[in-house]
Amino acid sequence: MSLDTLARYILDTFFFASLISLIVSGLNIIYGVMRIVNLAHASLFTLGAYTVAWITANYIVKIFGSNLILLLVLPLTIAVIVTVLVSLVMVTPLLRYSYGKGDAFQLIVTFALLIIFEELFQIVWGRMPLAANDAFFAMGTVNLFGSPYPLYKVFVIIVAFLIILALWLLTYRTYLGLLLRATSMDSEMVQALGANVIRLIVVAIITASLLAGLGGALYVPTASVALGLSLDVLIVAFVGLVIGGLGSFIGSLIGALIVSIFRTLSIYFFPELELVILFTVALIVLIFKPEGIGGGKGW
Amino acid sequence: MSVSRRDFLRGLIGGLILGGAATALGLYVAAPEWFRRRFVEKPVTEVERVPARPLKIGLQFMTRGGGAPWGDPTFKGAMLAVEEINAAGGILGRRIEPVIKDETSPDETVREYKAMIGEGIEFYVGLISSSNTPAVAPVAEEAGIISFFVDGCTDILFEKTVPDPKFSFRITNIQSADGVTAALGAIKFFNLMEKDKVRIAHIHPDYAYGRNAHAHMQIVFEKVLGRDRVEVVEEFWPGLFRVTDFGPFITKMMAGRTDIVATSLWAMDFINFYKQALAYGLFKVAKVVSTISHGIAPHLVESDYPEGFVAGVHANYYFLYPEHESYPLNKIFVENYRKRWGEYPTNGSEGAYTAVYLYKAAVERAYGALGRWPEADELIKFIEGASIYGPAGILTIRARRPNKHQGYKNAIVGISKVDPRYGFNILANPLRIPIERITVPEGWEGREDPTMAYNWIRETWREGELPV
Repeated sequence: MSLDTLARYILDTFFFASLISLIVSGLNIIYGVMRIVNLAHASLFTLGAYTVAWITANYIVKIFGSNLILLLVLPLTIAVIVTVLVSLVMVTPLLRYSYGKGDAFQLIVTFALLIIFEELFQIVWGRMPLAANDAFFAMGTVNLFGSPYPLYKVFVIIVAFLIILALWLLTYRTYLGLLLRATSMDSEMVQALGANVIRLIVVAIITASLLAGLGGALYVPTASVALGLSLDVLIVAFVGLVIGGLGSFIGSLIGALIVSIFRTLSIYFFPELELVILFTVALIVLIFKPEGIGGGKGW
Repeated sequence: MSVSRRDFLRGLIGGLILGGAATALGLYVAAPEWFRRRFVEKPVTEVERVPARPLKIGLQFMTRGGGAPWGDPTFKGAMLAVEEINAAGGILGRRIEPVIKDETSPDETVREYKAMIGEGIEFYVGLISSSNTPAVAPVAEEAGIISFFVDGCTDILFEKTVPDPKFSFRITNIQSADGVTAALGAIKFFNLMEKDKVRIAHIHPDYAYGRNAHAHMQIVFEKVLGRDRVEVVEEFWPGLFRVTDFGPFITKMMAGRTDIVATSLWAMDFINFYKQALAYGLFKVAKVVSTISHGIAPHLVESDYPEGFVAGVHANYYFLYPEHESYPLNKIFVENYRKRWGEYPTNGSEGAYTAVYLYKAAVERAYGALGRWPEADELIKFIEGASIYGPAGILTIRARRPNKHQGYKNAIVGISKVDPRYGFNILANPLRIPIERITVPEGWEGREDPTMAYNWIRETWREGELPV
């Protein structure tokens, strides 16, 4: 394998891992604090994607032309705000209602929410896929050992890295993070010590929504968004979650990276078996380390 | 002669009987039309010869998600025909009433198909995916519902799944013709006959359609160019609408120094692939031959799509051809479609539109022969072997095996070109291929694996020669 091909592969692996880690870490924050596997989480990723595609094509490009900074910053910011607001209105009350009500109840409620989101996307944005690749093209390419590579993908990797770093600082270097970690280990004790668990829950949901919305917003300029994306994203995120371990911050990152490495490798060597290989890896992890690679340790 | 009272009465009664009979006979023969209809004949009216209730048509297409750029225009084609026919008074006076369902996975699609039967549909126009036609056709056969599959054109359907169909028909050209047409287009447009070696990377969706397109492109390349001149660099099989980041595939194609990317990715997959390939610079080193790039709503192939690539339309129809000046039927269709939906039609739109009109024509012909609305099994005779002029030209439904009930029309492929009149990338330089040159003839008996067309090409085409 030549050097430029290897470099592309590594970057492609990190690009995919960046997106997955944003979703999986959000899923894990909610699971850590509330013990709910929020199936509707992937819908927030899709919401972020739809918002960026729609705003870019209909407003940003028409008003500001192809100004790169605005193309990158404005849709992203709006999408994150929209996602968090929608999450506060639609997701937060339902998750709070489902809190402590048992796995089956929570799975049904969050899956129902995913379906409701799909219907809403259809009502708002119609049945056709939306695309707005302006930022992807406007950034151009970088020369990678003699062949071009889309700079936008590098931008996504950097942004995701910074966000994950910020999340790590929040979790391990602040009082709020301490409370979040403590809640993930023993929420009753945290409550008994006088912390406001409900407020922590809301903070966790907002943080998770922000990550998911950002993920979708970063993703869409490289491709397009269509109904059904949530389910596809959910499947890959779940494999990452299972491999990395439920409720583990480091596990999220490990899970996302492993999913991405195996996906890229399988495309290289056995393109037909991409999903089979991913699920096999998840199965092996489940058999030998059921709590996941980074799991069982809380945050 | 004296007449006794008894004789008089006998005569009177006899006379009355005879007179009555004569009067009745006279009335029967000479009575006014209204009298005969009211009293003499059993009252049979138009209402009974043609049912008074509306004619329910089932429409089922992928109109949401990744398949929507294909399914939505197809649905619009069917709806245009329904609206046009209704505006002109329906079929023999019966208004068409659409029952609309979604096409999704095979299980779900069959469930919805059965739900439509429950709602009383009398005929059906639907389906895009080759995973779905083999699932729905056996149900259509059992239920006895005349079903026109617009697409889902896998050869397997009428070769293996229902080799002797009664109620299922298909409008779009058979799938093998698609790969064959694209490969012939590539050989002609890229002058491949003059090249010593052609390095091909295949990328196709991992299901019936992708496998079929791959097999038939490859057999044509090998047969016409010769096996030793064709080198397959890569073969990729991304799941249909499962992959959004084609980066790793593109990277590997570039690493393999590909000359030609042969693809049957469609709808959203194709858009994502070409946008990303553009960003990676793949098109600076490789040309694309696509079975189906220009089969989505035309404006979705934007002006950033490179020029000079082989532009496929599923071997069926592009809205500019047959040329509007010489073939007004197409001109009228394109204008009406544009007026109704604000965009240009696709080969799916044309297929669905023609399917509805084919049903109408068959019912009217059957009515002419039977004097009443035909039952489903009576109608079959009027569809089998029938030809109809649609916007794409003449379409003929095959009446005999193999591929009985398959629709055939001449295939078309062209070159991608940005046209400032439209503002998007169009199919230019159309190459029309007579369908009989590239598909299994009626009565041919050969192996079905992978398809009859595949074996027919392998056995009957001359090596190193272009058949068109």
